[in-house]
Amino acid sequence: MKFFIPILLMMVSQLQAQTCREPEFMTWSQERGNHCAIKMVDKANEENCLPLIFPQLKNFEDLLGAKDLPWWATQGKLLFPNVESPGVWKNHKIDASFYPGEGEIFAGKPNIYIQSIHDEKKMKFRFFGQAPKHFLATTPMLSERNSWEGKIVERDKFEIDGTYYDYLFYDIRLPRSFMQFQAGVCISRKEVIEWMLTDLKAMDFPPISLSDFEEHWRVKIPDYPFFCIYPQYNEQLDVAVPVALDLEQSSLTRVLYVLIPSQGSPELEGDSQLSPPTQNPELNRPATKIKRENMFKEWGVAFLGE
Amino acid sequence: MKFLVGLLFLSIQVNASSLGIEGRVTSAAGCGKKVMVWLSLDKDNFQERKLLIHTEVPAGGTFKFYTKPGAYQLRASDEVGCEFMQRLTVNSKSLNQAVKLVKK
Repeated sequence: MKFFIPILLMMVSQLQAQTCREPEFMTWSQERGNHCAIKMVDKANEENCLPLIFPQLKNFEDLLGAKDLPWWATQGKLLFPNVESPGVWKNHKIDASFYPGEGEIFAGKPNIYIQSIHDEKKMKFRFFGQAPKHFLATTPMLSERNSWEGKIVERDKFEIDGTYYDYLFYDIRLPRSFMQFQAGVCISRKEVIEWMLTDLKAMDFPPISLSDFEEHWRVKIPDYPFFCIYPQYNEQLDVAVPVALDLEQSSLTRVLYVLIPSQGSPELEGDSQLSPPTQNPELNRPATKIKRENMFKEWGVAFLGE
Repeated sequence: MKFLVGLLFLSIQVNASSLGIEGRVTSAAGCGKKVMVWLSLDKDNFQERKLLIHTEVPAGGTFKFYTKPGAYQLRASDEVGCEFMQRLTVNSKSLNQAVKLVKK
């Protein structure tokens, strides 16, 4: 078996060379379209090429032990057929028929973290606005006033109803009309997580939020070779999901990455769900240089539903 | 009349999105402090048992899943092998379900 795996990998590499010479691989970028790029990863971590050539080798990385799943994903795979999708998945989108409410955008796991100078401080985080909110889940439960009411504790946690939470969580459906689809990037699946993490770091998200993000979305982003990312920042989210912080000296930095999967390079994809982005998303990032006593940071990832 | 119909519609819209399953998670001695709560279709067949949504809840914490009317399986598990499972049918009002994990 030990000899078989390297030989098989060599065979796969030779087949791959039909399009790009080793150690290059086929990739896509907005500037250059389809092109060969130097391979920067070892074969064990390569998840886009092997399945395209031999679909039956999709579990190859499991054989090699390369995909180190978190405990919940390992358990989830034994219980459900779709734990590695963001929801019930059909035709490259969330299957909306299984979910209540309205809105084409399924915002998965917006998590809200806190960085505070206070060891203990009362706070209230309230969703408001006339439009009905189409929540899919919340942790902890919201009050009747659509709010989380409790305390910031130990500078980086919430205490709600006597229980400590590392973050506040909600899933929600949103209207597509509130989102922007001009600024973004189209990149390979492997680069998607790295791009979003880099963006979060640029907005000074706390380390625990980055590790939570990476752990969750490495599992839950579905298996497509390419994605276009359309980041929605405060400018869009404060309108789509208005919130109020009943706490002085506070700020809220928000980002929701809308991911559109693609089987081929987006510029060549005939049935693409959206045109590739044309603007640099970094220009829209909210400024985070001014420090406040209580800085709330919210990240989320969203997919289209039908 | 139009006003009344409008009021009724608004009321239905707001109430429709609050239907679901809510609860508090508790863990037996020896169980983990963080629990994953899973909501799936109520199917015995693995391929049909689609996972709808899941959330991590600290022991003692609360959650709510907003659902359509229907039959569901509510499961919970933690890193050390404690588990919970309950079949639930959501009709016209939200259900409150205590989620008590025990060591298997």
